[in-house]
Amino acid sequence: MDERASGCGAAFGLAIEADFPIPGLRGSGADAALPSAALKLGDEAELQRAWRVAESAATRLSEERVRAGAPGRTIDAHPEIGYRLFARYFGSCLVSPEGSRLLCVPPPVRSWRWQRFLVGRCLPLAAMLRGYEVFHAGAVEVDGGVMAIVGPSGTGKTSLALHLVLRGAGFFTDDVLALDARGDGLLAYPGFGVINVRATEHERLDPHQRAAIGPLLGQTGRDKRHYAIAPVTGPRALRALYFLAPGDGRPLATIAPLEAPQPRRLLTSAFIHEVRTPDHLAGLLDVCSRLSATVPMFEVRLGEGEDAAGLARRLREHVEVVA
Amino acid sequence: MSDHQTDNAGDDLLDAAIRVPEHVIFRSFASETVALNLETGTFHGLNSTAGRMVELIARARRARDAVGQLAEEYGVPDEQIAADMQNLLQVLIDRSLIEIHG
Repeated sequence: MDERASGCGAAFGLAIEADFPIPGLRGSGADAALPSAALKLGDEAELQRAWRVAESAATRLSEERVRAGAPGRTIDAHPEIGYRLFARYFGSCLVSPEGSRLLCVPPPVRSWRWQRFLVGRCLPLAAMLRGYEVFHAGAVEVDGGVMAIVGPSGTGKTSLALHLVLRGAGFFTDDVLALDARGDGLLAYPGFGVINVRATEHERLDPHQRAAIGPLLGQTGRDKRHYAIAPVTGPRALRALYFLAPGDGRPLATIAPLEAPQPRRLLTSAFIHEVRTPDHLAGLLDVCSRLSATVPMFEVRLGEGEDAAGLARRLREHVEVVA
Repeated sequence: MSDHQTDNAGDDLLDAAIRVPEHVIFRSFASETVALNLETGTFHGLNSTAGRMVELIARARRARDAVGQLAEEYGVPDEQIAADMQNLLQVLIDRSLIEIHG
């Protein structure tokens, strides 16, 4: 457990106040100006009492089944009660319709475990409901601007972000990037100070590099190690966006400008697809249009013979030259 | 339907007042324009020429008023622009992305 864990701080552009500690949550010093999200621990009976009113009029927005039987993940919605998210092994969470209150009902497991669900699903939804647009992206800060890495799961976003951080970049977020397009510009907000490193990448790190990341929170199965890592505090302008794509057999990755990025590519990079009111769809389209017009974008076709450390070194040089 | 009838229908479209309904928004990207129908939650992609046509049609009193400017911008005859515009208007109507008034 990270001894610095706090229940108050900022992430995804929200001023978070929880009645329990959350590893990786840091204060920014300007949190009071952000939309708030109050998090409360509860039990199943409390959630059932709150949800009972919604039961008959709720809509199931999504359901994921790994095998026959009860679904492993669900999202239900009710216009007045809010959103009920459930994930097997991670518990349930009730998010109020406007994203300002979250009732967390975890299973009896160590807090950092169920909080992966809170940080990875519930708080991104709250951020979207509070007016942000959330994208499936990792990001680091380079010279005061944010370099975002977009790509499907498993393409190496986290490994690249990790190696960029080990080369001196500031850690910004792992997997979920919150953007605010309500003002004139487009501001990115940092996520939680937790990075989820794949075992294969972890094995490549030497002891000095592992120690440089931060305290190890724990591991999930044999696949991932979860580290607390100090994130950048406060919003930043988006400096460049890199889309990761499968390689074409070349040994080194190619990095090419996307002069006219396909809207579909941006729209499908949104992190939340299940919960989309007309307002949210319009907001998403606005943000994507603005991204397309103002942020330099590049496609990175991954190389077969280049590891994340090597590509991170080249990307770091690239962003300093072109963006 | 005969060609003559088709032409008449197209002329009708060009001379009608076109309106973008409140539940439809268009946003420009470098490569194309995207229309979002908020009632259905459906995105529709338009190439950059079609996007420019929609932009000018939405500002014009009737679609035909935009033909001259488009012909000048793209360096093609008015007749070709008018024919392409008729096709586009029909597609947009079929997808409920525009409405005809009068």
